[in-house]
Amino acid sequence: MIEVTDHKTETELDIIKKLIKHTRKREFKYAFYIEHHKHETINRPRRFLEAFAAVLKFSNYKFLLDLYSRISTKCTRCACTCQIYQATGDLKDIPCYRSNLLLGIYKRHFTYAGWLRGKFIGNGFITDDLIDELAESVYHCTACRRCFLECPMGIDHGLLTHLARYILSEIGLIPKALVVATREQLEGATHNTSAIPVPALLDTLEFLEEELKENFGIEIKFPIDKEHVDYVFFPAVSDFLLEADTLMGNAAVIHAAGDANNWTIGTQNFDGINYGLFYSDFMLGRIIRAEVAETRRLNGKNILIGECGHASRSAKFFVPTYGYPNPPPVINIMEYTAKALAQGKIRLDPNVIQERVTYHDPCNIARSGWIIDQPRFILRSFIKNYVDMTPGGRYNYCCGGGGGTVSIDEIRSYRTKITGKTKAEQIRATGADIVVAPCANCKKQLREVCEDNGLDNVSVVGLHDLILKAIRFD
Amino acid sequence: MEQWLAFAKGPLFRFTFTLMLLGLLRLFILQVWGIVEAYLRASDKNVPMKSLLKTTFIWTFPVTRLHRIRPFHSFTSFFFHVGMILVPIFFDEHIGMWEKSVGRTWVGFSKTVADPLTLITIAAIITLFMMRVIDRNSRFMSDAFDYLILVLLFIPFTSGYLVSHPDMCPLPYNLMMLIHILSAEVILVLLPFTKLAHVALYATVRLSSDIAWRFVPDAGEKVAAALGREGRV
Repeated sequence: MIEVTDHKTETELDIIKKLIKHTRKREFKYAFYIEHHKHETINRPRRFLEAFAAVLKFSNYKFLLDLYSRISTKCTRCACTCQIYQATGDLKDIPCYRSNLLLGIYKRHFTYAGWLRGKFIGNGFITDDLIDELAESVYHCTACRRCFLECPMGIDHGLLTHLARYILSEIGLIPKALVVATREQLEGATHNTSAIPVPALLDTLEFLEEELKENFGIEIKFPIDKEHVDYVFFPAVSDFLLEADTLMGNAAVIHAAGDANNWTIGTQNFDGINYGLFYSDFMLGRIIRAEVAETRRLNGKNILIGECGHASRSAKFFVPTYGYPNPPPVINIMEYTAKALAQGKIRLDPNVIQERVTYHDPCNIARSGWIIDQPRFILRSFIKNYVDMTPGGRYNYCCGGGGGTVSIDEIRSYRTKITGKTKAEQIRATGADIVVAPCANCKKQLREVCEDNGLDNVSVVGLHDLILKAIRFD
Repeated sequence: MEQWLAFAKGPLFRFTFTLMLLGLLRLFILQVWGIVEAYLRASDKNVPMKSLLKTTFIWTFPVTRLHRIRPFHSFTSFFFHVGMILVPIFFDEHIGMWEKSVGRTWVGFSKTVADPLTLITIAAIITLFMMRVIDRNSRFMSDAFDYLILVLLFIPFTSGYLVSHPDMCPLPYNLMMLIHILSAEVILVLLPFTKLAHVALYATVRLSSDIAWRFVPDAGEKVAAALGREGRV
């Protein structure tokens, strides 16, 4: 920690020199200094800048911050795409404003131009208040990255939100719900965010196997710790507790597709959830490595992710980073099911679901254009009364619980009445009885959104819940 | 006055143009270097170049995107850019100047095209300025420089139009010409040091954003170690 005592007798230049010397000693590449401020009470600004400097030194963000701070034209086009700003009308919720909080700190403390400008204008330096505002702001954002699609400059505000959350996490500013779950997953006894012990998992799966046998009259198994298989399955762990139909649907599809003996659930690690994506690159990497290690322990070929948006995105886009060498391919269960359906391996009865059904695109799998058509292909194949939301696909609206905010129960009314308001209106406009949301977080959030917005007759289910009802084995 | 004009047209123009060129080149090279460095540090090197190029191209000529959000602002901004790029580079009178300074010439357009283009650009500048003032979001996000830059861009276009229409010009021709040239040179100097730098950096933004998502595999550990908190959640 850099200690700066009260240097009233020294010139500012001396202080700067001393600080640069200190930072060099600590091997920070980017020198920084801070002014004393009346709000600086617990050393947070200094710790924030230290964390910022360390992140800049070791990661890939520096060149991007330079670029963004040079080109941001503040056209506010992003304001028109942001469902949170549309709902709150609070100018501080404009994505560009949020990004500029971080860019402002970067420019002021890590660039000569910003430092010089600050000297003349005399403001812009980091304070406790600014850190509070930043922390508040980045957790207002659901990191859905919808604004990125319409930014004419190509500024990815979601990435800046991610970076700001990462830096804040390094000084201990993280929502409790995220950090407690991640701690259990990485350092707890159960290695999963819901703290399910293995015996409980095995009991649950045994019970589900019995259910499946009762439903279909055939043995559909959840293979445990089976080695040399094509697919090692990582659903969101909450599926084991809350989404039995989704899990049974997954198993039924895999069975029907002829891979009954070719997939497994590992007992060392069976949780696809990765809250690191929401607050820390470090945790993101550690969770991914644990997934890859489990896949390798079982000599599995592919990582198969269940119905979960952020679990899918974190695995798909970060296994190549953290799973080296030879990172295993990542497949989402909907890709798997769509392929099996296209190959004619699955038979779905089109007369089972009579209700009006709509589909919610989880941001983490739809925004990049990765999984948009597959679920629609599946749904249209057996649902007569299917209706799309508008807008949908890449331009979908977030459920309102993205970026890990769904885990924070204390902000439920914010999530359902503000961030989830647009989604509630969208669902209402479709007139649907069933909303299919293939994501554990979206499902939890949308159930609460429907409950709090008078959509009592709408049920929120997973894609494989409906498949389970319609799949036929005879 | 003539001497001032000759100075502004000659050495000062060459100086400001060189400064702009070197400044933008520096930014572009730094950015490309940043991209290369980040790419080398990342272990996931599977960059979707084709789709990034496609998106960059679409947004460079965003004709299919303009009507979607804030159509009036988008169209105004689009025409603002069209005039801003075409008139200084391709107007016949300017080509003569380019020939003298850069030693090259190219096909341009005459006053019949330049006049409406200039008027559209001036109208667009005024509209954008007004929108910054009127629109609640824009006003909140704008600082003094965001307004100043529009004023600075307004001067060379208006003075240029008046120079080519001496009957409408309220000032002596040479004085107006001097204002035109000097104000354009101010813009040249500002290009590398302000948000106008996007003229050189724009093409790299989407690639940069994509590569920045490709994290350095051991960065998390190193950051935690540097901050003295290894391995703790």
